[in-house]
Amino acid sequence: MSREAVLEVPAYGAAVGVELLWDDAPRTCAAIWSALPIVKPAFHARRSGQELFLLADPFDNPGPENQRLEVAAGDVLFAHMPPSWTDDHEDYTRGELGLFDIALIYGPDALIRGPEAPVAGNLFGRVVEDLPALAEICTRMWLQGCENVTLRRA
Amino acid sequence: MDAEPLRLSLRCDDLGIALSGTLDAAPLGRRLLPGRREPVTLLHAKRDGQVCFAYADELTGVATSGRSSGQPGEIFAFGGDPSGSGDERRGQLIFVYGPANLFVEPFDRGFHERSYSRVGAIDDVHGLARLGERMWRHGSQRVELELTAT
Repeated sequence: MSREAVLEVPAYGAAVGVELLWDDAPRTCAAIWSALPIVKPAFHARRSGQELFLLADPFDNPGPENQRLEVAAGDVLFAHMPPSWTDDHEDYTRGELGLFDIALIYGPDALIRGPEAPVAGNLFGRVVEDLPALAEICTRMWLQGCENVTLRRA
Repeated sequence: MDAEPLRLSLRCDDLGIALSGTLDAAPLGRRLLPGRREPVTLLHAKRDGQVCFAYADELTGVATSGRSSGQPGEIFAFGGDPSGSGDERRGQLIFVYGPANLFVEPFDRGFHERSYSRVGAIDDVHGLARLGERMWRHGSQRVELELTAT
């Protein structure tokens, strides 16, 4: 059985494959895999540059693994935002578990940033097809607003 | 002679938000003149945090300095990035709508702050915050920008 994922943006009729990096980030891939499908609104970053992110319901936190501060187009990362951080999201409740942030990097001008500093994310996946088309959709979501996305098993 | 401050109004009919404030024209070398009234596109920042901006070609090339972050309600000018391409080279009028902001260079150059010049403030900080948060979720907005003499 394939253990890859698909990222869908139904509003734009888009679906792209995401290669899961089981060898490099086994705990993170397993945690994400168990949480799929994830259906959430995706927001364009407002401080991380060319990044789209969604906030998943809490799952087993894999802890730091295969972490990256420098990111590249096509990278898919998990970053846990602890509840102690200053919350600048008016309508999100971090609760006791913090935020479970899944970030899609779609261009070179990107750096995952928390409220106060850059954040290392667990690199657990890579978009393996149609990245230019996906980047165009991400730019349209910056201009036209957030949309629901689905991350599901392939 | 110093230029007189200008009154600025910003009206977004789609969201039912109308804001006003003051622009100190002196630091801008009279680049922004009273009488300007036109629709502009207000965009949300991708890197700077709780900030939105409109391109202002009158500001292209103006040297800006002083601040790498702002308080909610403050307005800043940026002369554009001459080493960038396309719209990156254009001047901008920048509106800080929330406390989580830091003005930074494009990340493909590393993580470096950059400085803008404070040129004014919006009176209704909460109204600006409402506009900024709505834009972050719902995208760019067409707004009517008007500058008048005081």
